[in-house]
Amino acid sequence: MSYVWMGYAVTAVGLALYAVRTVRRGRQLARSFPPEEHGW
Amino acid sequence: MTTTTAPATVGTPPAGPAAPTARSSTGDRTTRLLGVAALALLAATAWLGLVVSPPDVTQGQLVRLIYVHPALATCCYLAFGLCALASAAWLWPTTRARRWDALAGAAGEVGVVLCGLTLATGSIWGRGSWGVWWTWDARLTLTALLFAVFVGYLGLRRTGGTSEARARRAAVAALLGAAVVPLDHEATNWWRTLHQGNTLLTSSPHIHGWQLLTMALSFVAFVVTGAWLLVHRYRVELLEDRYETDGLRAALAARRAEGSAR
Repeated sequence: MSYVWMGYAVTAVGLALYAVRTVRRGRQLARSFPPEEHGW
Repeated sequence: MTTTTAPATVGTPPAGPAAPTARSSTGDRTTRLLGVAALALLAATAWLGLVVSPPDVTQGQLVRLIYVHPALATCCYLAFGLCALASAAWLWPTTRARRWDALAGAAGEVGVVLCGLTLATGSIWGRGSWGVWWTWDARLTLTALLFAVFVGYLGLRRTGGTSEARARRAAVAALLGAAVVPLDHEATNWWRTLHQGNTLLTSSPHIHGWQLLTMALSFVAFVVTGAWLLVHRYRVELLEDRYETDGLRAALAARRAEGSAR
């Protein structure tokens, strides 16, 4: 069962780190332009 | 266009009307809904996979990794496929637009992350099931090759030259790299491998009941999660492109002003 927990933990941490990195990067860049110019 | 100052570093807000606002992000109402759906689906998959579904007769508890690993692999194939399609759209003269290159870049990066997690979870499964972290099996080797090719693709996107030359190089690489996807998928059918064959895509699926339901849910959960990541990454790509363009334009204007002042 320890391998199962390891697999779930690796997936959760990997996805969470990438998601946080992407959202933070987007926030940093988006603040350089007014929201009405984002196009979404 | 309201930004007039070239940003010194990416992420530094320019002065003037484009002042930072607390609401600025790559998210909107749709992405928030998608994100909540992704979290709920992932939580449901984990609960069903770890608590509700029974252990397997032959694989024992290790079968619970089947609710993570195949879904990650499928999503990585989808991301690389999308990267290739968007690259083809960029290369085709009548559909060429910057957004296709941005979509290809975003899908390529999301695909690399998912492929890395596929390799990691597969390696953990292999250690528990076969007793080794890695073996040069056809499926494993081709997945590692796919990962390496698309890491190279991301590197190619950062090389020098004009944005058009860079996009062309990357698009050709994406099309070549995506050719590994069908090879990788069919590896268990074409060669004798340690890796097990298709679980669902057969005339008689090998799992039933809670196991089948959980596995089906895991595919939906990871597709929704991948879509959420892709939308955010695509918007980051568009913002990076605009940042680069604005910075270059301001640098040229500053150079011209410097020249005329002499």
